[in-house]
Amino acid sequence: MKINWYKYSSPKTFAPLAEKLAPRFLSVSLILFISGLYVSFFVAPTDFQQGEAYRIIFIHVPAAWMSMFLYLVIAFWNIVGLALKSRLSFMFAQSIAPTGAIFSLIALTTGALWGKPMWGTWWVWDARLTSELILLFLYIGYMLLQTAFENQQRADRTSAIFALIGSINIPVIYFSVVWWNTLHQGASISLTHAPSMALTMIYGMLLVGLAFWSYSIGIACLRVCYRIQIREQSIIRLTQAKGKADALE
Amino acid sequence: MNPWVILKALFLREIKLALHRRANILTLGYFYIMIATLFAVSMNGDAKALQSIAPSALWVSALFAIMLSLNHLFTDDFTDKTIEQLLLAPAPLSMLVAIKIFVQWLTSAFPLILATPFLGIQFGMGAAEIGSLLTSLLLGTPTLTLIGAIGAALTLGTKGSSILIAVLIFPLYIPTLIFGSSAANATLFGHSAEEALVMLAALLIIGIITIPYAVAVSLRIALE
Repeated sequence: MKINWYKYSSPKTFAPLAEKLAPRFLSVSLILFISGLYVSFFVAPTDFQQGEAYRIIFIHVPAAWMSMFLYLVIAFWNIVGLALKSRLSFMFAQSIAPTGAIFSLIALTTGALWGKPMWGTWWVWDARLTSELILLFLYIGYMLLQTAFENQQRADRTSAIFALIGSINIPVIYFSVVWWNTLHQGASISLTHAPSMALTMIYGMLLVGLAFWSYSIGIACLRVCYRIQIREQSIIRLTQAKGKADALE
Repeated sequence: MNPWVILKALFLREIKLALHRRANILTLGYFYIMIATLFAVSMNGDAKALQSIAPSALWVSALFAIMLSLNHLFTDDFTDKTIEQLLLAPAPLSMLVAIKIFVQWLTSAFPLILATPFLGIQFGMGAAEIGSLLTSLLLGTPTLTLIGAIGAALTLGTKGSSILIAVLIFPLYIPTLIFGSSAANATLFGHSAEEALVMLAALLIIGIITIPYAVAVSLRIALE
């Protein structure tokens, strides 16, 4: 069977598809999330060093994964958008951004909640925490830049460039903070957890990770539909206004 | 026409315009000194603590001052349409942009570096520390101006753009700030600053090669 992929590159034909896909992905995500939580609360063994409190990693680690992965997805769709001048790619990238920002916020807060009982501190300026925080800043910058322009095309392309520059910058930031930590190694806290992890723990994290992944796709589809509607309405309003102006002349 | 003639003409024009606005240069230096003073005052006269934060405080002050100077980089040319002439000029836009950024650095960051030794003395720094602070600023501030130029080009034509530029470029400034302030701090705490300075130089070289091109792309998008 041959599928014409280009058919779905136009917002008009993509919107009904996205509307159909969104509830499916969201329900798959719900099932995965519940089974992931079941594994993490009832199947995974109690950690012999950290007790029960370690179980927050079943949210924390997948959220951190997703926050980084989604930024790469955004960069990818922006490259596609800039190369092929496809509006839908930009819309998709922009629809992912709020979800990515929320995941990095979740990763930061759950990390703080985990850090306090385990290491006695809410926050340290180590490489992972600092890069995650900067990642959140980049997400927010990307979203703010989209709202700064009246011309939609300009907003799409300008924010795409910013997202790309940010994606180059993330590894540099990570490296620079690692470097600075190795230089001033005082009584710092090592955040590397227990060396041998039970396999069930990894399964739990993977299930929750897949749930988050599916959720991101579903919610991005919903946002794309919403964006397409908004843009269409503004075009209709403009043509109506123009029609009125022409009638007056 | 020979592209070098155009590049030279642009360089002279930028210098002339900057000298015409020399009050701006002085205001910026004054602003830098004021932020540094605020740091000093907020330490409540604790000389020892002040000395230990001196490199970081001066780096952050310089970063703020440089960021505030970016607003003028492209906006004036944008309002009087000179920038369209640059786009049409028979020389690569990235080279023209590089010249504009260089003059911007020369007239905003360089005066700050000249004022730094005096602030260093006020903060109780020794000669060696001031030396490595100056080296780190010389190697680091061009990168800050380059990165800032991207922010200025991306936000060209938006309302209230100076806050937006800040929000966009602060995360991008982090690596330069880390290497810059740690070069100056290393000398203060008796380590070698060499490694951090090499990193700063590497960032600067990468920036010089790539950023003018990125700025040119952003400007083309802004003017479409």
